[in-house]
Amino acid sequence: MRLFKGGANIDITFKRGDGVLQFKPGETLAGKVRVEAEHPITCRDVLIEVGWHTEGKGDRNSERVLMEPLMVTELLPDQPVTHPFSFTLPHRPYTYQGELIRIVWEVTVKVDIAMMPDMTESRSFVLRP
Amino acid sequence: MSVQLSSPDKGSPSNIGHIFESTKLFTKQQGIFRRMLVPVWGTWVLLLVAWAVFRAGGFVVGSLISTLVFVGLPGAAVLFVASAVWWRRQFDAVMDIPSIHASSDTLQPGEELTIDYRQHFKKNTEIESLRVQLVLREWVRYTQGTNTYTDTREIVMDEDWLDMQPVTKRQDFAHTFRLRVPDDAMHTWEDANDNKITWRVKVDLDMPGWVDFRESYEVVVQPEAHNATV
Repeated sequence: MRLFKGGANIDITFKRGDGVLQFKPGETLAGKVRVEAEHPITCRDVLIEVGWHTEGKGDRNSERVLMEPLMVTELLPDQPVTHPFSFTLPHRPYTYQGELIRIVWEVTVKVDIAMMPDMTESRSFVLRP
Repeated sequence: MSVQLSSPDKGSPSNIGHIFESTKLFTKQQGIFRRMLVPVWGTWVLLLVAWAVFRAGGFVVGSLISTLVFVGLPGAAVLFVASAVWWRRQFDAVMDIPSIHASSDTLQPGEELTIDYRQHFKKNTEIESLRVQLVLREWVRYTQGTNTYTDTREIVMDEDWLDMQPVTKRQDFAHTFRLRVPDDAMHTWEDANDNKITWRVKVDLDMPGWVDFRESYEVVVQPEAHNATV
């Protein structure tokens, strides 16, 4: 099997029919991750992470609040990995859109590949009461 | 819970409320050291220059610098202190330092905050305006090259004010201001190193012929479900 060559299609969907990506603090964020490799990929793991980061004038700060490893070390074409996730969201910080500061929440799927840049895909959501 | 923001007796720490003690007093002490640094350092530099000029044979210039150091600077300092004492006595003759109390220093979105402002006046005068604001402050730190900068923005979320108001001799002026934290307000957030969101109550007293009295006090706005564990 070859090491990483090419990419993978990573799809993140939230289990919410209304299409609204706003969640309340303490609410359950559930969804599904689908990773389909274009070429065979050997990786350390595939991780689902939930966290926030800042945008705006200040230097970027971030924190990974929740993480779930999928225990996957091989990704093969035509054999997509599908995994449901369910996290209880924290109570703070709220999503924020200010003049100097923006706080963005997102779910990130990271394919952790040794000696290579990770492949990541993120989907943001709003955390507010 | 009532919180005292400032006290007429600023010299007595036991009378100073939590918010005043933690912010304003500290800032003032820092300011005194900063202000002292410039004249002390300047005097040393001038003394060194005078000594160097004397040694080089410049008697007239050296004398002038010595006069400036030993007569001019102390004279300016005496004048400065005297004017400050005079100004303070004038102030004391007209009014006491205001006493400001907040209904709470910890708030929730949608909660109302009352600010009780009390001040004793000893002479007839008038208040041009007295304004109380609830302000959200964004503070950021950022690097450009090898330099680090900070920037702040203040957004007034609510305010209450009192327009022109005559006050009479021996009047105990009192007024209650009401501020409200918006329902969808962002909570206080100081977890990140380079991005912080804080809330403050700002009080601004404008009286004709006097320097404005401006103070601000930090309050905490908690997220709605702050008791739950993250």
